[in-house]
Amino acid sequence: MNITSETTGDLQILTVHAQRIDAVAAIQFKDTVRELTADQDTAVVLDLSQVDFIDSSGLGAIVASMKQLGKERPLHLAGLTPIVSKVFALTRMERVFKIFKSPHEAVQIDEAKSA
Amino acid sequence: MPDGSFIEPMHLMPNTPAQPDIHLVFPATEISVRRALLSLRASLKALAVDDLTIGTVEIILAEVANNIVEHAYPLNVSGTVTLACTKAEQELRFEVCDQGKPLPGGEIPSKKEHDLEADRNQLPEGGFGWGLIRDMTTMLMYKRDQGRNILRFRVAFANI
Repeated sequence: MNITSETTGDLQILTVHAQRIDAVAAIQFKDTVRELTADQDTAVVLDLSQVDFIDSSGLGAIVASMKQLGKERPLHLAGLTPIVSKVFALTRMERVFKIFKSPHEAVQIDEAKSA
Repeated sequence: MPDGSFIEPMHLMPNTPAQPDIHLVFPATEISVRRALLSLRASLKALAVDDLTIGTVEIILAEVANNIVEHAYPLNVSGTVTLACTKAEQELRFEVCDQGKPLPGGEIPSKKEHDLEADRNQLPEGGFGWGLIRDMTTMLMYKRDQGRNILRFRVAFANI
């Protein structure tokens, strides 16, 4: 799975370049996020604007990544497409994450940078 | 019908038409589920179903099919999943069959209410599937018949 990383100020932005985070992709997603965040210590924003489908395995992988980052490094979400947004709403997991319209919006909000 | 007699819910369902609009048979593996969903998406598009409904259907079918892959068939057993879809006036009607193990207790599991106030390390990483299926379908029925699991459900069109 292609995920790119960019650090802007106090935020690490991970952009998922894939249309699906499903049962096939879930483990690879977790592994890639772990590798990309290993040598950093900032909060992380996951840009999901290119993802148009997520199932419960993909959702579980995002929660696992959030746990793996630990208490000091929050994982935020940005750019949720309609169906992805629906999955987060129906499972109520939208309450667990801070959700921004775009990574750009997260960068502008200081609240995104601390736990 | 005498008062108080029990009518098995499945009997209230009209029979699945002999000729569904879409009929897919695929191996019970994660990668085949993904391919089947992409095929289903293209077929629904060809049937002029709107994108939001297609997205909803895709989530439901992903959960249903991945449950079959993970729980109905034991590891190293090659099973198949059969999917039939019929477009009705206000909804899509689905029937999904497999020949794996029955659902636990012979019933569709209820929606799990997770404790989201819990410590982040206690947050759930799974168990969302049947809740999503229940939330997104307008009718949902399960029966076990001659070694087969039969799941029927309906999904209302988003734009009506």
